[in-house]
Amino acid sequence: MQVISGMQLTAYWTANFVVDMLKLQPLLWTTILIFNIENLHYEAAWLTYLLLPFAILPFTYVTSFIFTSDNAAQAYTLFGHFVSILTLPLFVYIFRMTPQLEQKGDDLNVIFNMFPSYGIASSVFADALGGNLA
Amino acid sequence: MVVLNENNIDELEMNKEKANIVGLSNEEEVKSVSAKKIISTNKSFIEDFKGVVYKRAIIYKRDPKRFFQQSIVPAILFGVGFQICQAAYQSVTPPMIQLPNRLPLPQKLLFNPSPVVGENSDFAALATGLTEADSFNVNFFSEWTKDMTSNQYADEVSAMSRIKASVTSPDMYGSYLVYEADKVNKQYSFITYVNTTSQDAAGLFPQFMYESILRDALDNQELSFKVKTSPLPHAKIAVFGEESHAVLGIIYCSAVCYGLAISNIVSYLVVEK
Repeated sequence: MQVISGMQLTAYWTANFVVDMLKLQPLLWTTILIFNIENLHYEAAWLTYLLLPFAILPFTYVTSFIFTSDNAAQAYTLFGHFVSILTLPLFVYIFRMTPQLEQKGDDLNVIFNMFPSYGIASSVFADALGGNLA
Repeated sequence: MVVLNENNIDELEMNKEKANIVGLSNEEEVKSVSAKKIISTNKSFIEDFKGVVYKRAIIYKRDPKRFFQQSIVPAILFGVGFQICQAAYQSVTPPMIQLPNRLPLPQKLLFNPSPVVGENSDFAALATGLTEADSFNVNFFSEWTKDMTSNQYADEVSAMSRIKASVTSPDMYGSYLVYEADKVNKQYSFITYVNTTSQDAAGLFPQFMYESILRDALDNQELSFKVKTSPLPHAKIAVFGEESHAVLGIIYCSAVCYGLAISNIVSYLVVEK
């Protein structure tokens, strides 16, 4: 409808980006605050979280074109991010801890980095438990 | 005032060509038309941008619950969820001496009435010398014969435990078959039968008998030989210690809360389309 009314697409997406980034701020700063309150001395993870909107929002905008139903979009996006934050980094970390699988773990890490949400969990693993890796 | 940069100059050149087509020969006239167009484009971008932001603001103003649900609730969930994850980890029990009275009911024991080998011992003292003997209900197995194998005896223990066992509070976590009780030569040997539904029984029941044997062998009923359970310190666990627990808390809460926040964004976009 906006396109028909003559709206510039650049303005549309930029404005949505700004609003969505503002919406993510309470969650981002809560996360960083908890890092500090709990004395979790993560060297880089906080920065990864802080920069997350610049990666996750364009990714989300692109993936939104896959869906035609908002319910499906919500469910699959929630599930996708749940998997890419919780499961994939754990797999990669366990692979990297096993001498026979560490090369595969490194390869998977490169592939999974295409998912922005994978990056935040991966950075937490690297900061907190990176010392356990050979 | 319009600042002409490389892009604008390109556009100006294009407009010159268009001007020739529509018959604008004066260069100043062409520049004026192009500058107006550039101003119009920039103005349109800002207006469109402001329009979309204003629209989103209006939506949230009309329905503040939506903003609260999409932006504040995930943040609250993250904080609460992380604290719950940490609380579960801190609920480790303190070190404590393990005594039979910590078991839910008076513990029934099956005990052979005489040892297989060795007669020169006050055999009954082994049963009465158990830690807090009142907490045990000792049953000497009257059908016991010395040629009975340990497996046959185990079947009897098992049958006895099935008779009145409660699913939630078993009253039989262990029993004994004393093989040798020779007080003169200080030779003792026994078999412990353990109900493994209690993870502590495998450690506790042998210890109860060790104490009783020491009391019998040393003729000292006051002797104390206890088991004290102490949780392994968190930081000493080699790989999955306290830090890893915090990591799992962070990762789990991130998965739920960031997934929630981002799925709300994509939902809005699909509805808009």
